[in-house]
Amino acid sequence: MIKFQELLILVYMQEYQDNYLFSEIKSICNFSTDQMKCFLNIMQGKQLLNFENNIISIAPLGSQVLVEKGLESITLNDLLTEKVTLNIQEERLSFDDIYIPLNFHI
Amino acid sequence: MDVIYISRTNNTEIEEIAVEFLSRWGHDKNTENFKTKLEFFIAQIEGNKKLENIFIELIKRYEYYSRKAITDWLLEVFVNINTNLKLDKRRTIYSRIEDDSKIDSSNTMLEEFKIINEISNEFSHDLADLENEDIDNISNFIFIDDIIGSGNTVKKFFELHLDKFRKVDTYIYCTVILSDAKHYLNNFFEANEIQCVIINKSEHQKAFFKDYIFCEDCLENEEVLRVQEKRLINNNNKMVLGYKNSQALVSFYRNTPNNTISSFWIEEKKWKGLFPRNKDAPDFISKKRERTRAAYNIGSMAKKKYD
Repeated sequence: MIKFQELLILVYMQEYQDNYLFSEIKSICNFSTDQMKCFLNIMQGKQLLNFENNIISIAPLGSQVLVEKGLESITLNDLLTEKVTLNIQEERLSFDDIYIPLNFHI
Repeated sequence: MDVIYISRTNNTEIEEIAVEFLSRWGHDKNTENFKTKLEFFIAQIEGNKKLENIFIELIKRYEYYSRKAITDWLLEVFVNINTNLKLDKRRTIYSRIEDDSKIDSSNTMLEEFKIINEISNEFSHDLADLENEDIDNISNFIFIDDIIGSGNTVKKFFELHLDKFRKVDTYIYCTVILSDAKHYLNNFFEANEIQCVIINKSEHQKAFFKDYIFCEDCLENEEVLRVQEKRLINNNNKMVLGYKNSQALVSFYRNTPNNTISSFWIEEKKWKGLFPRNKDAPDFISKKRERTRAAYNIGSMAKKKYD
């Protein structure tokens, strides 16, 4: 199963390509340095990212995941825009769905 | 109706310059379609052959540092610290040269340096956070920066912490330094009894320094470009030929410093620089509270699919 942090990093790498900064990857996922490194290694293991000559890049499988998720044209700034959903849900949220309480801030 | 700019410079010459540029500096997102960007850039000077020739010569000496180039340099810096300087790791602190501008390039470089070389945050502190008792247990400060243009930011920073700097050895690693700035800072360090060594990857003279790029016609060419830039930037004299006349010729993968000759980074209605400058941090960095939305939004925007 793909984690939302993996999607965030894939969207970031797709947008920034070889203009990335590790400090920004940390920032968007709210990671510590060690958490970020661990996560990037896991993504490399899943073949979502490539590491070559000390440079990371999005792997073909990573790009494919974004297409499958309909996120291939999304930028990070798109994700910052508030999206309000007023639909009443018939079904309960599953444990896999992300739920953030109203007015919750980190 | 599409406007087609016809460059007076021979297309073969531009192609050769573009190929040579890419062979020196590599291919990345910013240098994608570089030949086309260069053709467009030169075409903007339509009607002024003299100016065109000046830009052509400047571009031949322009330096561009990609992500790969900076990563390789940061790795080399760490190797240099350990194998050449052989500093005591336990008494060496990495820090940043604090800057008032929105783009804190020293901090960015320091963060990348620490991550790439796996340096713990325990060995990295802002100088303002260090007490005098802390300095007694420190032998070395190391600063990492991309460019030292005029030296004024470095000087101002050192003046804030003179007492601390006089007790330690300091090393400033920078990718690029302008010769005038290096000379200026070395004089400052000597006058204030500060032991500081600047270790740079590349040192530049000002672009119109005699016999650097242009010879007998350097002053004349400087004036031609100065007049052009005054028109471009509405007489904002501070930025003519780069901040306070720095006359640098460099860009980095995330930004072009304002020390670089303004024509290369300014974006106006009638002018597009070859390496435009990013004035602000990306929104997802500056809008911290909005970052929490990103996690929610990516979940809701991603198509639900069994995976």
